[in-house]
Amino acid sequence: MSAGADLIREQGIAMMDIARRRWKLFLVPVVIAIALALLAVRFAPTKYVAESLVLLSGANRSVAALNSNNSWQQRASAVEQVNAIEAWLKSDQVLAPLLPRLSGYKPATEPGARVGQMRAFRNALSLELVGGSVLQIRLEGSKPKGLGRDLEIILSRLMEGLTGPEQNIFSAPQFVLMQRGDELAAADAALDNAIHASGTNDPAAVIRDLRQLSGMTTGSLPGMRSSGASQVDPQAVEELRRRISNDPSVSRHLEQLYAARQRAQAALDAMRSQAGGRSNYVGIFDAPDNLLVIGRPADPVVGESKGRKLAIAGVLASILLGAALVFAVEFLAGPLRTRKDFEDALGVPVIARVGHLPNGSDAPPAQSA
Amino acid sequence: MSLLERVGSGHMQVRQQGRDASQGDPARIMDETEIDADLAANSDSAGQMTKAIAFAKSKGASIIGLTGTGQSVGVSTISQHLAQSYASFGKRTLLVDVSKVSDLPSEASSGAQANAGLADYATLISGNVGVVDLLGIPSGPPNEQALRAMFAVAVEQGLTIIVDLPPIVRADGRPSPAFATVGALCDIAFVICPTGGVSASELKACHATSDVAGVNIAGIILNDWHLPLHSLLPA
Repeated sequence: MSAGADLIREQGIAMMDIARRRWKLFLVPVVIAIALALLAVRFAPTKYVAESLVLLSGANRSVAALNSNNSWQQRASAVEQVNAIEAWLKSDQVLAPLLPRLSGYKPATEPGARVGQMRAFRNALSLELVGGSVLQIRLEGSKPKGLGRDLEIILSRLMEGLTGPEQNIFSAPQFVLMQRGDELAAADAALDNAIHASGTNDPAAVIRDLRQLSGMTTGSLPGMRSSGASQVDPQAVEELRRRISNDPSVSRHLEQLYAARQRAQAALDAMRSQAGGRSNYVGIFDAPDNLLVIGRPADPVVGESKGRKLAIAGVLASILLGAALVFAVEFLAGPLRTRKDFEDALGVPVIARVGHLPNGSDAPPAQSA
Repeated sequence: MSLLERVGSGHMQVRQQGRDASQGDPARIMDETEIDADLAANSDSAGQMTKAIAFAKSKGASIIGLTGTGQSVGVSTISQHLAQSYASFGKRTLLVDVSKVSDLPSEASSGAQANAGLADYATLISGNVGVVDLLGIPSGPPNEQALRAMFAVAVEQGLTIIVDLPPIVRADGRPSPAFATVGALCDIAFVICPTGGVSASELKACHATSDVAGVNIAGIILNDWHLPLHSLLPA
């Protein structure tokens, strides 16, 4: 028998001896972990999951048109679509009106609590692409009842966004139009405040005078085509300014605010003609009407204990810990186990190895002093 | 059961098979060739005893001490089997039990003891094995000089002496005086180590103690008895 085989046998038996000597040390963390695992399985909350599947292939004409050699491109495109859907579905604009419709919803009294609700809902909802053309939507909850209905509400909202006009989705001109409207409103508010601050009793008359003054100073009156050749009477202009306010600085300030308001109005009007009145969709799919929802979501029947995975992981970790403890203790104690160990330590040869020796007494034969 | 009773009760069965002829002839001593042949034919514990004998024979040792790295490592049992193995080869053997002796007296004991041979205190158990328990000597253990003289006389009489020494280190962690005193009288000594039961530092400390005491540790006997599947270990 070769020295290598002898060494392997020695090491193998040494391992068994370590196991025999240290099994209690190994078992302590394992037993503790098993006890904790049982408690975790018993008391950890159960997680229920409602699922729904949506077939995407019919709604993806452009993706389907890619030849078969570009299947990775198809999948990459579908993944991007799913990511886009998930981002939109989990956005505040969608979630905020959706949350009160879900079962078990309790109105948040504090802003922080509401943020927490939104975050919890985002974590509970997940979208995943399965097999390249099926969208799996999962909603987790602590109770099975109502979970299917909640998922149906979410699914309905998703389909609504994908197939119908969406209030919170804007084209670029519409977005600019919205900004222009806000700017006009701000200019109106600033003008109103300034007019009231001037102490006038008739704000409407001031506005009429400002409109007339603007028409005279810019060469045209609102609603009238400019003659181009008409001359501005300076005395009439001054008279109008005095009617607006006896204080020239106030009059000039109001005149500037009105001019700003008029510019905002002109910008808004110009944008309106471009934006048009078209409806906006969540334009992720080419043909969203061809999306196929496979089955209605239903309440889950069986839940999954969160503690189960934790328990399994804990027990596995405890096994590793137990083994580590055993090897740490063995390393620190440093017992000699092989023939070579002894010969190296003492510098003399091992001349014999004695196993069981027959003995007349019942006591272990090699254990008496 | 005392050492004497254990040896004398016939329970030591090493070399029982095929040894009847040599045991029946105390004068016959196996030569080197016979020991080697026996060594090749036996891989069990009895064969291991033969290896120890062959090693001691190669060193020309007549007084062989056995000690251990600590308490309860099997020194007494292995000493008995080694003595019985020697006897089975036709060698007249004296097993001297010093394991329970803490220290030898510094003064010479009564005159009768000084002049007596060690074999005079032996209990003859079988044809070739005698056992001497130093604590069992009526006038008490001899001092070092007396014991040295006793050993010399026994060797001159053709006896091989197996000395069951105390552990190198006592239970309290201090060196054993009896080990140092008696071990120094041995030609060679074997240290018995429980496999997996002693660390390198402990073994080196034992070796250093032996060196200081002048004990010639010539080899190691590994006690694998407590190991699982120890029969699979290389001999």
